[in-house]
Amino acid sequence: MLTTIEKVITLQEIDIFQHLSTEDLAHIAAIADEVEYPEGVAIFKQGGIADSMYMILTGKVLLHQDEREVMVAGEMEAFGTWALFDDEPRVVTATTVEHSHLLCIDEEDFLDLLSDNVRITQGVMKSLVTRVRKLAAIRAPGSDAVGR
Amino acid sequence: MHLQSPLLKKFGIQSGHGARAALMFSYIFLIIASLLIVKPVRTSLFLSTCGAEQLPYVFMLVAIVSAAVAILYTKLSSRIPLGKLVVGSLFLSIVVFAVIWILLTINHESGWFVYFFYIWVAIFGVISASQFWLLANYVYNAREAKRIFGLLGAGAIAGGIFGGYFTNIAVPLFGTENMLLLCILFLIIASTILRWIWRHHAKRNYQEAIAQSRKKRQGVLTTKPLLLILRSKQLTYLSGLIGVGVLVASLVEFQFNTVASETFPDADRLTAFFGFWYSTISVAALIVQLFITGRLLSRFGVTPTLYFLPAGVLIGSAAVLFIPGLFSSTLVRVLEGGFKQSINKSGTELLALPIPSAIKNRTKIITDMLVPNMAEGLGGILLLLVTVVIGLKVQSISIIIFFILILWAVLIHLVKREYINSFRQAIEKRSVDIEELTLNVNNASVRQIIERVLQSENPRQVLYVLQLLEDSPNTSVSPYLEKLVHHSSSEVRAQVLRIARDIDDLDFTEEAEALISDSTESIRVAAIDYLCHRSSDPVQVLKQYSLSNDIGLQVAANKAAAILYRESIQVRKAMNPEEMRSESLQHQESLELTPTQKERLRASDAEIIGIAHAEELYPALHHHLDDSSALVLRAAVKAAGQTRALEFVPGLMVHLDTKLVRSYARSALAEYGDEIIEVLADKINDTRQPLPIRYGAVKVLSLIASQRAARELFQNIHTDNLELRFIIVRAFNKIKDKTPELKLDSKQIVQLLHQEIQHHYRLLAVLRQHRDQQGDEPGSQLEAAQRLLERAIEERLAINLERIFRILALRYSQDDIYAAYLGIISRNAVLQANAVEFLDNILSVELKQIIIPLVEAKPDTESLSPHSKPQTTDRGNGSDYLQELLTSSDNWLNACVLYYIAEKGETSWESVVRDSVSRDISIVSETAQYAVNRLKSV
Repeated sequence: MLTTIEKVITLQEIDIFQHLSTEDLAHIAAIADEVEYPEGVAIFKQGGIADSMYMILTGKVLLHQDEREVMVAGEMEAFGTWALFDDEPRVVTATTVEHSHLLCIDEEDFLDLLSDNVRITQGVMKSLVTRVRKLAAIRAPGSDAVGR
Repeated sequence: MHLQSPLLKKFGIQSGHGARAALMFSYIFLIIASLLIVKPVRTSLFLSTCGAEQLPYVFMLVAIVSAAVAILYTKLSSRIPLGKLVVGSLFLSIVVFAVIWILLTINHESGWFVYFFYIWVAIFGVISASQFWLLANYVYNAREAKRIFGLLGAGAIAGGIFGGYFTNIAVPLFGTENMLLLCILFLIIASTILRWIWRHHAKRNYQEAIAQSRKKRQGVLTTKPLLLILRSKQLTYLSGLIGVGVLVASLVEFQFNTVASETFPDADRLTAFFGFWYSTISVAALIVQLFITGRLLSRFGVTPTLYFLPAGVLIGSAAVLFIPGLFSSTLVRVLEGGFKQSINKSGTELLALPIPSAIKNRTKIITDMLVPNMAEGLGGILLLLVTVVIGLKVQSISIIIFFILILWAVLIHLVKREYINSFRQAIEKRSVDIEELTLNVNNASVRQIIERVLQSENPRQVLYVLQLLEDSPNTSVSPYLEKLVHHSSSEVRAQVLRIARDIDDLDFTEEAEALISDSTESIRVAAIDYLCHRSSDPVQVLKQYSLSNDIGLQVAANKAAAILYRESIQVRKAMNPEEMRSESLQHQESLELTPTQKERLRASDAEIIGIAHAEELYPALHHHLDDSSALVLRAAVKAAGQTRALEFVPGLMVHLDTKLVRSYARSALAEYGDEIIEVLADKINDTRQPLPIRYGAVKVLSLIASQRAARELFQNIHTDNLELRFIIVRAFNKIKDKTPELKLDSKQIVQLLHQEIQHHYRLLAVLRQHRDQQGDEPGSQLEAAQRLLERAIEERLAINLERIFRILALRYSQDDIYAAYLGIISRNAVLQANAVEFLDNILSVELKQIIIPLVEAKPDTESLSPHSKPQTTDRGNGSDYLQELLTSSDNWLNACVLYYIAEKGETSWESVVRDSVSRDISIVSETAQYAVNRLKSV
């Protein structure tokens, strides 16, 4: 069982939380639950309800669309992040490749936290904007205006 | 529902409001009558004692003293409640007039006394009239004001007519000086009326308005008023027109007074003469206003009508020049006074229509006080120059007036170009303030624009113009409404119903009944409201809909009932809110409702109590404040704030710590304004209170944003709780944003900055020591713990730097300091250097010495003062700085240190760590317990 502070150290690695202070990460840590899955278990399925994101503490998870592999996520990697922000169904299935120890953040708890803490909201939005800008820059290479 | 008699309705008075209107009418009548009694007395006394040649000096003195009084009055008005200020000024006037009367009866007519009397009457005239209109703004809401201000204006004119003619008749009977006794008597009656009006009709509205204005101040313009005028061509020309008008008026007044004093050497006859003509000018103004202004505006539009006053002055001045004498100088004075108070006043007010009200309010002090004062002073200087230096005769002053009239005409020509463009833009941008203005649909140019907008299919623009038309006390709105009642937008149709409910010759009952089934609640409310107004038994209509099986209709009917209950005395008499609510609840119980429908009904019940302000229903609102649903809680909290009843304050305080409701609780508490400042201060000081409540109380004070709120906050700014301190400083920034004139003790600000900077250096020293510790291999738990602590300290340094700049912003321009802060925290070296240079230029020498070294480069901890070094116990292993972090009040740093100690395996810290296990902060105790276990294993 991880302490809050150990969860913070882990959460620092998640891209979407990169602009949050360590103290704000402690609030996220407080709503992050540890879950364990044996090998070969589907954590969620393509087309299913997206209501939580995951962070791998130990183990490996395969993300795939039917038989097509999208990626294999390893330790300290997060997946299902967009579930925190929209209600669209899952676009991939997540299946454990080996016994996996994960941190799980529930969408409702996360939104509740955001509504209560403006600094966390700001930090998360900043990360989202950074992502959008990066995507825009990829779509329009050489365009200065996009990156600004 | 015909609530009022046709006569009352004609004057815009609702049933039950007649007594209030009569009192307000009497009050302004008495004030203006008093003024018109003392004005001839002071003018004749001045002319018979000092002679007309001294008029230029007194004009200049009036300008200077009025400016000083305006500044003093503005300062007093921000500190003293309006009621006390008005009563106090009236009482002071009574005392001063009594003293003047005593001095006059003992024949004391020294030069200074006559000057003082002249200036005092001028100040009394300006202050008493403006105070009345200010008071009227609190006695009547915006809609009522638009309807009734015409009647009150008539009261002022009637007072003016009565006062002057009364003086003309009474002076031969009582003598000039005894007229002051009559003036005092009028003022005593007026002060009695004033106290009654204040207590019963204005005090509560004033307090509410003060609370509201705090909200509105958010985002208020901070640009200096003079700059705002200079940036707007229209405002510049408008100010020019006002100034030129006052300048010409002072020259005309001089001619009139001089000729009159030469014709009537006897003081009593002179007083009677002035009394008669001042009243005659008022009669002339009234006639022009009633019979000519409207027609001229309707036929020619705004700008051509502005030529009437200068044209009148031109004719009169020509008469003075070519046929000198009492007749000509009286003619020019009557033409000037008659046109100025009527057609020119209406025209100038309409010219200001397209200017956004925020700008108008901000520039009012310049256009209403500074420009007229400067123009009057300039008039005095000009008169001195032409009469004393050049030696021109009185009639020759007309030549000077001719030259000024040319400038006047040029200004009218310039303002004409700006007006239509500005108006079109204002309608398109919807920047005309609906609350403050009545649209004059009789104005030809305005009418054209309105008709074009109303024909559009854009509901937002149509609604906007409809709102502007809503309070136009004129049946000419009817044709527009008849067309718009079939508009494609149901919102437009609802707005039409709202306006049409008071227009007898329009009947939209069918349209209203059709809108009852609309899906939008506000439209249903408007429809029910209309039907109630058209019914002889509105309560029955309300019951019919509130007992409907359609939940939406029930809610709309109850809301319409609450609005009517609040607005109409007749409905209040006929309706028992408790009974109606209980009937409605019983009916709801008989229906099979889903939990969501029940929740919606509870929320609407709370809203209704807030709208109706019915004290009988307050127990139910208390009940709603304990509801478990966030939807109901929000509605209840909002409603409690609307009532501003003190009994809800404790309940609202609790909700400062309720998720999803706390921001509503803050706004609701802010509605109470200064009334609850002490309660809020107690919460902030009470360390037993949960932190969210203490933080919430700070935020409420920042919303109240008064000087008292700032004072209470400042007393807590030195708190050791750094997060609370940060919230307080941020609250101050918000208050300063809303109230730029806020005064803070600059010594305390400097002291606070010293405190923060010292803290900054201590943190830097700690960070340096921590970085000096031997790093562990990358990826290990110790290395992670070390990095976490380092990052936490860096974050604290960043917050500390932000706090320092926020405190600086309390003393300097917030924009400047924010720009400098962004430069300092940027990673761009050029921006950083520019920011340092900028700070070097704007900060005081004292602050430069402490701020510049902090931001210029990373300060060298070796050179820090002994106070800045960590105060720790040396454990001989270089980790003694941890002691300081561990004993600080920063829980997050405590936890990070404990984790670091645990991973480092520092057994010498075991007892300190063990003490932290019992701390009541979960993150600290949890990490301490973890550390204890880890150290045991070591």
